[in-house]
Amino acid sequence: MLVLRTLEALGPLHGYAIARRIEQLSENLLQLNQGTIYPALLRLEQEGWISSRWGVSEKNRKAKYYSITAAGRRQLAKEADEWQRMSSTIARFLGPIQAPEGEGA
Amino acid sequence: MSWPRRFAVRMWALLVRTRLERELDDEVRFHLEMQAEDNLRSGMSAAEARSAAKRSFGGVEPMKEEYREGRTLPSIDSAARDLRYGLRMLRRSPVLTLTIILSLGLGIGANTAIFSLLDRVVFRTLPVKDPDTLVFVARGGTTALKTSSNISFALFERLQTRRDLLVDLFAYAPASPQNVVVGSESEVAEVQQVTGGYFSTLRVVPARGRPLLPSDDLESGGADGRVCVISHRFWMSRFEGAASALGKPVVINGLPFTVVGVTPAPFFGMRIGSWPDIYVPLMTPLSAGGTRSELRNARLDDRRQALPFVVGRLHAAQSASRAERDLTAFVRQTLRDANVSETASETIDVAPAGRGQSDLERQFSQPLVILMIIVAAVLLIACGNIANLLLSRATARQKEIAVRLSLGASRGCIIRQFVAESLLLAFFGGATGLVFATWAGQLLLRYVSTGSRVIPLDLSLDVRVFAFTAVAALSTGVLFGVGPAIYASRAGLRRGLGADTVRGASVGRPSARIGKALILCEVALALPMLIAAALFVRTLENLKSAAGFVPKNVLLVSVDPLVAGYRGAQIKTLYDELLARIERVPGVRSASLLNVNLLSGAYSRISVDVDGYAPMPGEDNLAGLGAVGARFFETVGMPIVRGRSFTIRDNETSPPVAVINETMAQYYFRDSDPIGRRLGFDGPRSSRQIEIIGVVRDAKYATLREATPRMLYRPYPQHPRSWFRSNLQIRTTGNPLGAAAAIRREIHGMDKNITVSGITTLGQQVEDAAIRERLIALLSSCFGLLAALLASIGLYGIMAYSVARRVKEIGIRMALGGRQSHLMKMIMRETLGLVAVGMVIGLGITLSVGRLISSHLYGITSYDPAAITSAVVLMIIVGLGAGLLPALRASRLDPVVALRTD
Repeated sequence: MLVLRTLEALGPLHGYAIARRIEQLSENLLQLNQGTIYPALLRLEQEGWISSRWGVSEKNRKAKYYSITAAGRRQLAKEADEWQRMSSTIARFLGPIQAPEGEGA
Repeated sequence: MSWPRRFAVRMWALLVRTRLERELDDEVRFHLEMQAEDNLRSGMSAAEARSAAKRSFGGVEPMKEEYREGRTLPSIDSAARDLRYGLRMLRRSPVLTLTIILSLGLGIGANTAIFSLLDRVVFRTLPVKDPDTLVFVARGGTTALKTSSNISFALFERLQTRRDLLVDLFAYAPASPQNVVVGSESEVAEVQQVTGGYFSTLRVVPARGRPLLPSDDLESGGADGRVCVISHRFWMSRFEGAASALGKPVVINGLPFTVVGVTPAPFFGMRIGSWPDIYVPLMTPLSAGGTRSELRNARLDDRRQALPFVVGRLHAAQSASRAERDLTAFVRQTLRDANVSETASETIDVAPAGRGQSDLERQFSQPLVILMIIVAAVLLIACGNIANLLLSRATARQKEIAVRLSLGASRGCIIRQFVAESLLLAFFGGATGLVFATWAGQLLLRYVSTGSRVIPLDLSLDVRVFAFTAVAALSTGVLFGVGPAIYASRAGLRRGLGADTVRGASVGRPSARIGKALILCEVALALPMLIAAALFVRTLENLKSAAGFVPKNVLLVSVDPLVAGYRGAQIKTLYDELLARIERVPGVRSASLLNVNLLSGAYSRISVDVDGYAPMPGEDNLAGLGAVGARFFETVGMPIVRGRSFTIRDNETSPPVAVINETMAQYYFRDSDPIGRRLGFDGPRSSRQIEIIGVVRDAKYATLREATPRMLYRPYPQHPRSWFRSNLQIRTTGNPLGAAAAIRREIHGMDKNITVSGITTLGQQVEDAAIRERLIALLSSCFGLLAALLASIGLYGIMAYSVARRVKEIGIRMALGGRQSHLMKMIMRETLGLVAVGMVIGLGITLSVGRLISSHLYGITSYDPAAITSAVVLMIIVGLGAGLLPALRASRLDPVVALRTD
């Protein structure tokens, strides 16, 4: 989802840029090996949510660029929606429990 | 797939793989360089920047591996790798591999051979269009005759007018051997008589020329005269497949028939196990002066003059039960209109005909099923042995496995690898099996074929047989492969690399335990097979000795004076002289005559009326009738127990006499003396003039398995109804077939127009009558012994392995003063313990499935103590044999050497 969101926000990127972007956004909290991004990208591509093509980087080097597809956008919307729903549910659970504790103390 | 094509596909995959691999490398390199540059910018040294980049990327190779697995269908990619590796492993131990492949090949081959026979005989549909809508149509009801449709020609013609009931229909008679001349060559060929709708109903389009048509189906032929369609085989063998065959004459019993068509190659008519050469219209008689008027003029409801078989084709949407209802209604109406009084019980029965008419099925389907079970059990036992071999090899390969596990292979990987090796073995085993099966199938077919002609069944491999073999190979591969695979992966996990240094008493225990369990199963399977084999062998012996006559050195020759133009008393005179002349031939001890050969599956019967015996209403007073020559009982070796036999003086002018068998004497006269009593034929109005002059010992007549029928013998000169074709019975002093040529000369010396056919021996008749039993007895013995042998090999392997594992223990025992004999006893006890437990299970299996074969036994029960005992003894001997070598080896160990081994 992170990859899809990144690509949606920033347009076509190569693997390194996506990895860096995710690191930045997560404020280095997600300490994953950057290499793991590639199998993930492959899976997303196989699902048809992103597409890739070979292009030339800003430093005039050959690089593979990934971009989000229409199906990818739909999937992102769906996952974001689900995530929202889940987090609000969890938030509801976490909220009221603290209140009685406070009263009882 | 062809070789070039397979090669191309692989090359393509290889090309694509290297390209994809290069791209992945590029991508990774790009990533690392970018990261390193960023790191440089943030102030690291060049070297530092590069290593930091690599650090943050993580393991490159594991990532690539994961990527690769995601890229292709992972299973295919890794399966290919597993198979390649498996092939290498198999090549490394060629003897083991060959042993496994060969034993598998034999096992699978036997299964495939039996299956292909079973498939052809029982399951296969006819090679015609839409076989599922073909049905046998027969008239039922209480007075229905078996082996006949009971449908008269007149009724058949009425049915033909109602195309709303059946799309099309035809009738046919069983194919029969006839004298056929093509060009100048004379031979006996199978001729099939069919009505004009035969080819159109079956939807068979001739490969050449035209089919038989309704317009051909007339007594003197249609517009083209007498015509015939020949089979593809006959066309190839007699006309060399020449197009000019069309229009040529084929002379059947002296009558020329013009060839108008050739059937398609795979077509063999309606009967499985027969392959007619020539198809002719039913209404055209097969001999000069013959007529079909009896058939044509038979009354509408006549059952005696009826068509043997009627086959119809249903409408596409018409169910069999619906057709049955409609046809019954139609027939009842038709018969009512014809003023046949009783029509309420009339029914028309419809039975599926898509698989054809199969006598072979009736005769062999159950034996084949039994054999199928037996060969499957043999294959299972072979699987057990292979599993044991692989298991011990897995133990030997623990170090390799441990290395692979510690290098990061998952347990799944190890299991997959082992299963891949097993499947490879199974594949090669299956391929060997196919080769073996084609050969074994032919052998089997030749074996079950009675007479001189091999049963014409096409046993070439096809998709179904192929699929069966594939499934058999695959399932055996899984069966013997999965156990060792799981064991290997588990053992590898537990023991790791240091295993070699901790070899002790407990090492290898799990594999030994599994191995012993396998051996138990093998013994448990082998014992019932041995018991079954013993039962079948006893059955065969019982059957052969049940005949009641002495079949050795009796020649049988069929003669047909009718074809040569003899009629009535001429035939009697011919036989008189023929017998006299044959008895003078050197090497002939006695010669006689019999109307229907012994053990030919049939006998002629006659309704008797016995003086002083009042039959109950509805009682069956039929007795088998043998019209015989003077020295018949002497010739076939049936002893006369009371009274006298026939002599040459019992002729047409002397008082009528008869000899009856013991069963008949007992039935009609109880304990009183039948000699001198009288009887007559054909019901109570008979004149009862025939005097009983003798009683002959009981003997089988039509089949070996029948209860002895009531038999009545008459001298042929006194029985004009038997002045027909007949069978000479000739007892010789030496090999009966050796006298055949001289006898044929003698017959042709009298009249060279007399057809001589069916030269065989009484011994052969007995063999042929017991063909099923012989087949089962032979194959079950072979496979039973093979099973016992396989089990003993397995047992030997396990015990030898166990001794090898316990060398140190044995050494200690010996060093402490254990005696050799004691050690031997210990090993033998262990072996026999295994055999005993296996046999207990085996006996359990025998008791629970024994009754399945009871219908195939004769004069013996499924639980015959002698058979069970002999099988148990044999199994124990086999077990002792298997245990002896390892036991000897253990007892001869030098304790010093034994203690030094690690």
